[in-house]
Amino acid sequence: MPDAVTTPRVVACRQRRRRRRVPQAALLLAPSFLIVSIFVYVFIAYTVGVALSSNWKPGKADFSTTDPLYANFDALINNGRFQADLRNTVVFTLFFLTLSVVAGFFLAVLVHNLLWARGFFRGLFLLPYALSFIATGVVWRWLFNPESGINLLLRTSGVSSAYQHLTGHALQPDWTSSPVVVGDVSSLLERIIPGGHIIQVQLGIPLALVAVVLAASWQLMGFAMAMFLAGLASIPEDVREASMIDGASGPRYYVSVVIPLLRPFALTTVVILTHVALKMFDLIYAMSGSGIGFATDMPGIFVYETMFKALQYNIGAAASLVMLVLVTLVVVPYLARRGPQETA
Amino acid sequence: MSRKQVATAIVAVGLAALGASVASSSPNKGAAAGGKLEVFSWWTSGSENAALQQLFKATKQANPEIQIVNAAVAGGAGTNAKQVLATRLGGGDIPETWQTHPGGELADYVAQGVLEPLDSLYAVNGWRKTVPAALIKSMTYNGHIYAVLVNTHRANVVWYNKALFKRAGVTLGPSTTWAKLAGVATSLKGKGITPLCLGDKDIWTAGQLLEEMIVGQVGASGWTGLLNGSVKWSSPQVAAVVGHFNTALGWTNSDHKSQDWAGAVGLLASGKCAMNVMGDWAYGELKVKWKQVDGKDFGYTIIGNPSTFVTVGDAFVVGKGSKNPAAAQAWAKAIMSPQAQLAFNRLKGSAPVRSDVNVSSYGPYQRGAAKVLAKGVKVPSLIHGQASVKASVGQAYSDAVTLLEANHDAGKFGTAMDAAIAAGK
Repeated sequence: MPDAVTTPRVVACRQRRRRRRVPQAALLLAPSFLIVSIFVYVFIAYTVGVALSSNWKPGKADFSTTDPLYANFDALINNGRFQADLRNTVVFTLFFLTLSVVAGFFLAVLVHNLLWARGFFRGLFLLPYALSFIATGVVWRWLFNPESGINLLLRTSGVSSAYQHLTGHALQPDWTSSPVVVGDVSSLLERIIPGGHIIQVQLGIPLALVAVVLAASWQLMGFAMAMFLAGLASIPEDVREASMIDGASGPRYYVSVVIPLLRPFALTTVVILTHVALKMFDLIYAMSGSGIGFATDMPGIFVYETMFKALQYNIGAAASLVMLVLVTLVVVPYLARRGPQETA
Repeated sequence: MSRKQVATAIVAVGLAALGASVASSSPNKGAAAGGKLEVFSWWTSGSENAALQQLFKATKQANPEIQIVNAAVAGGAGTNAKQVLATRLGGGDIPETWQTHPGGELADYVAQGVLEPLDSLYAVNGWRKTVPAALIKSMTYNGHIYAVLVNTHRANVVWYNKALFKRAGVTLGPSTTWAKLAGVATSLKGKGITPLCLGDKDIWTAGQLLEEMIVGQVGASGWTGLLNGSVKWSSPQVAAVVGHFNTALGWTNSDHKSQDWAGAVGLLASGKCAMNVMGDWAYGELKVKWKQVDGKDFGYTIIGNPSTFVTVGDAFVVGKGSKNPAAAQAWAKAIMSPQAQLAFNRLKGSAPVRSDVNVSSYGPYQRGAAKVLAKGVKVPSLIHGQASVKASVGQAYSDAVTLLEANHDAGKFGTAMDAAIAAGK
């Protein structure tokens, strides 16, 4: 039967069709290829030019380079504010990912196992994701205002005074107004790493970031939940039954069966949320600004102010390239890993 | 549909979209030869827009054939507008006129070669005689003048709530010193009143508080020296003021990091705290939004010499290579007219830059401010980008104050500022 199909005529016909398909595919891909290459890759190349320039201005595109070539990046590394921004990015990303992925997973398990009103709760937890970061930033700013919001709740509910009985001081955190950095390891690093003396900031966890992490996780855990719900729905009922028969029930079923099966979904969620965290700008800009001593500053805010307030376009471009590299470090390995599997 | 048809359809849709985009962009280009005047600013809030309309009105009266296009961009105290403008300048799409600050920001445009010098306008209209010399100087680069100022706000004002002062039994005259302020603060605290209102979610308000404290202490000549590098920010004089600033931060409302400047003015008006160091845009906020009466509900004083005026002006420039240079020149002339300046500043709450404008119809605060602007000593505000130093110095100052709020270290602050001034010359 197969021999009958692949007669020379059929093969020739297929080849013709394939040959005809090549220019068609090229034609269809050309616009997006052109647009992507101009608006992404040409502009990245342009930004590299600006980042290496000594005095590029919008009205006077002067690409003469600095001497040495890396001078703008050198200035960036020695900038205490940018150091604080990188510290904040790392701390924020770690805590935000952990909280939103773990909370998203538990919400998904909860919603998945609901016997009624599943759609309602799915919508309820996903709703914050639909809101704009600016809107939620303003709301959380007032919730974390030391005079109102959460602290008021702690006071009127009696939690604050109960805490006072136990520890001697009232439970009224400063939230985003806190200048405290805990777990500072910078002096340790200075001793270990040669050239560690360029570190000008306390390398620890700024407490003000805790409030920002809570707000960001609240907004994006619904997204993580949706991803995990999709994953849970893809696990066939027979798998559950089979594991039940094998004696894996309750928590054991989740730990040994569900979590391993959800791993690809978790990976996708983590990559998407990491790139959100690395590019975080609007939520923090509306919620706390740079914070006391740059406790809640982010590279995005640094780029914006360096370019359009300080008018140092070259330093701003250099900082934006550092952000690009950070995102690339996360996204490219993910894409490279996914590619072959999908074609297989 | 066959594949061929699909491909044809896609190409057709693509061509149609291309045609539509060409069609939509052509009217702008075609009409440029007419009397279009594009005014680029960041005045979008209620009172600001009302004031801007007065400038439009004056221009239309003098030039009925001009069509004004209001290209205002909201947000970020002008930073968003500057971002849009930078893109347009980069693409060679130059507006006829745009808003800027005299000082580092203006100098940056001059260096890019995108401005027309306005020497002949100044000469023909005799503006050099009516605009204070210090303001002329702030707009002059390489011997040419590049902008016209529509207003000047005063940055170094201490506003206070009269009812709270009465309750604490304290008073302040037309000028004050740090020692007096500290005494007043102690009395206020004794009555359980928060002495200082601050809303430094955006760091410039704290930067302004420190700036006005430094100007009040070192005086106009000392401030000029700090800006040009002849006086060191690491000097004991400045370090002492920084110490006072650290003390003053302890007098503030506990939610100061969640409030903005307008929020702090609101706290003052509603009696939550007693004093606020803010530019006289707070005057409009107190009067219009909070219905407060000048002299009855609130008072004001100056730290240091009362004839020192820390300037925050808004200027307009004429773009080089715009489509309608004649309209831009007509705009500059119209907004410098005494009538336009009078009408604009009445709504904006600032002082006209022309010393020959009759301000007798203004309220007492604005009359006083206009008088000091005409006769007093003018120094530029650094935090508001008015000083003749690179814009990066202003940013370095903001950053240094941000760190100061966390570490309270006058030494580090001084070193950082000395380095910034040296790098920003």
